[in-house]
Amino acid sequence: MIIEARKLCKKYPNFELRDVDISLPEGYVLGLIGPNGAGKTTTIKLLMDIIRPDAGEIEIFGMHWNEENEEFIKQRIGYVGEEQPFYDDMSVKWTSNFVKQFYPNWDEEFYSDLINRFEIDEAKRVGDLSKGNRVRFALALALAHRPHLLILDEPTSGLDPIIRHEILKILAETISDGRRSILFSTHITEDLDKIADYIVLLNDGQVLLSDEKDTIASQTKKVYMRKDEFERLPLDLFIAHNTISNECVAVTTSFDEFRQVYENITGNEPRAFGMTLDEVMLAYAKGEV
Amino acid sequence: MYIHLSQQDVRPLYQQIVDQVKVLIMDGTLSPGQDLPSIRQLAQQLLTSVITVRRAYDELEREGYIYTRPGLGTFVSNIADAKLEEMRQKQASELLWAAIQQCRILGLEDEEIETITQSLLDRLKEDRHDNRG
Repeated sequence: MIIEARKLCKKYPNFELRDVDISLPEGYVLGLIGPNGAGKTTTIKLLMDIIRPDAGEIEIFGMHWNEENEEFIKQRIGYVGEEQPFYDDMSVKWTSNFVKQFYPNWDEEFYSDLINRFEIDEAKRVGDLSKGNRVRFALALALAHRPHLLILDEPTSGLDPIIRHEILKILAETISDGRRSILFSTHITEDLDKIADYIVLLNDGQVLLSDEKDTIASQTKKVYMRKDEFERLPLDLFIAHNTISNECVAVTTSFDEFRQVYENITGNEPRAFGMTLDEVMLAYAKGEV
Repeated sequence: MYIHLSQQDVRPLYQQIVDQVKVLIMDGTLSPGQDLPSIRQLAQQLLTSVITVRRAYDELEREGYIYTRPGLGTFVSNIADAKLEEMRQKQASELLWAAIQQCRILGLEDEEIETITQSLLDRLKEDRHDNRG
């Protein structure tokens, strides 16, 4: 396991993270989703030992955070946050030279290759980079020391779909050797609809959903039926529903079971559609459909 | 290998991959013995989850459409013509079943469904006849 976190708790005056579990094996992508203020960044800070939990255990690469392991773990993590703490007046080149010092594992060839692909001018002032290039530069710096765990906290907010697609391609490349993992926290769930293997949905400091994305997708569906049909079904099959005159739309989280029951009652197969993670999140967090 | 993935499709992503690869094999686009991208390669190409692709490949292998040689890769099976025919029948059966279900939801009786199907097939025959003439 690259990340194994159990029952993480952290209490703040106005917010509490409770019993958060995160597991991420080697070679996979975990998408951390949830509304603003759900606790995603707090969770990431805990995983990176930036803050300490009030309770719970964290193991990164099978090791606990302590003085002995700290350096080893840090060398193998790459991080891109929502904001990039660069000295805007310095050049790209200066910045990479600065960061390079901290990483004996820095792969100059790999880094140069990325910078060229991104068409980033190394002589340019960091503050003059376009938003998209600023993030891609941060990504290049995070990947240059070939980390085994890449942690991304809302890196793509405010970026256009083209740049986001480019970044997604780099991420897909990063995990293609099966030895690296990515923890991707974002509220742009479109990107996770594609690439995520696992999804953890946080809301109000708690885990509402944690599963393989495929399993979520195959069991969480939007279903349409008549109101009288809906009223004959067990309510616990659904986490959300809405009615207009004699029509009903609902979200079921146990599609196989629902389908069986619906067929038994009506003799027909249900009208069902797949949902995006956005829609899943809305249903779980707000009970809305 | 081009696979189209849709979030709105009722079928999960891995099923969409399975169904499309089956079609590519059955209509001859992928030939017997042809090598397929590895699970991680296809996942990267489609920008999709590795678990999803793995699940699709596992099912395709279970159903005999593809096979894996450790260290060498994944390949399209040499499917005997009879087996291919059986698979085509099964696929067609599933498609028609789904369509029939939809018609029944609309409230059509079995006889009406049969009549409509027959008239569609007749129209198809006429079109072919016209094109030849």
